[in-house]
Amino acid sequence: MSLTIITMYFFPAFKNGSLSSSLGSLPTSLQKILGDSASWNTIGGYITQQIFALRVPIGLSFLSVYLFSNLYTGDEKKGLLETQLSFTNGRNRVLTNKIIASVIILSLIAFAAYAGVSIGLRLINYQYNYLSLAKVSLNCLLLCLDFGLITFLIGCISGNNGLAIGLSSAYIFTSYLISSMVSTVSYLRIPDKFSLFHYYQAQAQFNTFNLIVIGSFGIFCIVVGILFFNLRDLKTTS
Amino acid sequence: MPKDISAIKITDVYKSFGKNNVLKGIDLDIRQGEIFGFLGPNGAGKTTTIRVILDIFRADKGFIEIFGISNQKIKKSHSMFGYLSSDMVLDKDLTGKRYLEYVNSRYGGKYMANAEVLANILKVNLSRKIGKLSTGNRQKIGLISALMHNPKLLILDEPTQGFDPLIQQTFVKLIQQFRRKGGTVFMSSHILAEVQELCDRVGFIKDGSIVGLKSVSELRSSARKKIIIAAEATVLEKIKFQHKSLPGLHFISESQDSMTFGYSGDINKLIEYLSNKKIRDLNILEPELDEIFLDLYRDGGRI
Repeated sequence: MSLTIITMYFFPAFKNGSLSSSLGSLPTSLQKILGDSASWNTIGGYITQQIFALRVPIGLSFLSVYLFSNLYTGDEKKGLLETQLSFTNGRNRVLTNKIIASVIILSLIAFAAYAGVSIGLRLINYQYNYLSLAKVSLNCLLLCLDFGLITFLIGCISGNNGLAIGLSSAYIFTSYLISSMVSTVSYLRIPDKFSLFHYYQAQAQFNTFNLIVIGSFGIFCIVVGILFFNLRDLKTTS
Repeated sequence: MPKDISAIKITDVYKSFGKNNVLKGIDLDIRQGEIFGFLGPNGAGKTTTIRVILDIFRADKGFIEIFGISNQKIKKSHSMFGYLSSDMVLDKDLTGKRYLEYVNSRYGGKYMANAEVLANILKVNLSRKIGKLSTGNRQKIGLISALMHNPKLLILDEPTQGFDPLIQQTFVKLIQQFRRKGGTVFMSSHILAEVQELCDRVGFIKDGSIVGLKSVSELRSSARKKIIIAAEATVLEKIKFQHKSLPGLHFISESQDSMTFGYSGDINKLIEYLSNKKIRDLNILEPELDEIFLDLYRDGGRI
């Protein structure tokens, strides 16, 4: 929340400065990472490009990975899952509860980002449509949930916490890099299709196709994860 | 529950981890109301068997029923037992009370009063965080969580590790009380005195196979008794020289005026055999379970 408040607080200074013209002269790929010059001039552009295109999704993605790994594979590594499954908890029920808990916590964090922007807007005395802000926040939340669900899937298959965190973090980093460079490096167009960032738009509108891809991928991770978890032995501490 | 249904029925269970075959066709039938001791050296497959019963590990082959219900029907089968292991991991950030409230919620939310009674008996402070408790006290909380919902069956894996002798006695009393109420206990243990005191039957597992299955009294009577004969040196020499003529008599050791033998035959035949020998004293000692256990694993045999 504080990150979004601080970022919002700097908007008037950037808007009136000479930064936007300097940004305009940067290569397109670098502008993709820093946000193009137009994003520094309007409050809508600033919110979507400076907050929801990079800072919040990256931060929230790694939080999502941490959350899913901690709640699921972390519990398995510590031996807590074995204890939980010795009660009347079926495997599906334990996993479903953990997914629901992770989604709730992540949604609260995403809401904190939303609240941070709202507070920032009040502080700098600017107006922005709160529904649009909610839409861009939701887009971001869905993307980050998918990253957490990748951790969940790898954890369910392998039972290895380190592997789940490592592979999903590497995927986030690589896919962000690919999607930010695809506009200038043509041969990245095909790999870009496998990047979830390709289907994420930091915009105050919903793209049905992108939502279907992101939603389906999340459901795929849950279903396949639960399926694999039901087939394998639990990793035990001794 | 009809009495002819087994508390636990394990049929032809195999389990391997990679190329390591840990369980090789386990068959066990635990009757309702008995206390069954499951014995074996480290790595024999005791904990793996228990984890397969709990469905923590999935058997490669075979099936398991708890009171006639498949162990994979978690909600029904798992509600009938309580489980405690020596290395049970509890959430360190929770207080004992909060943890037991969670366990209580898993069993329908009616058993918190039981938990408090058990906490008083076991003298454990439920208001402290689990992470700040000693191993013994954490184990006590595990025991409360296993007993609080009045299960029909207790599955215990090395349950008293970490208990001081006083609490071990309390544990024995709790288990005996549980059995008097009709409960069944399946416990693995290294503490043979505890098994001897508590169990009706024992099963021995070795290298993933059941090598012996008998009642404790049957096991004692069929196992090798220790015979100490005191006599003149010449008499002892004669007995040592001739002892193989009595089947089941094995020489163990000798001292200045006595000899120790192991004997696994009919005691009347032994008395008859010694009746014409001028012995000074005869001591027949019942074998302790740990001696039977060591004999079994030393000889690599079956009971």
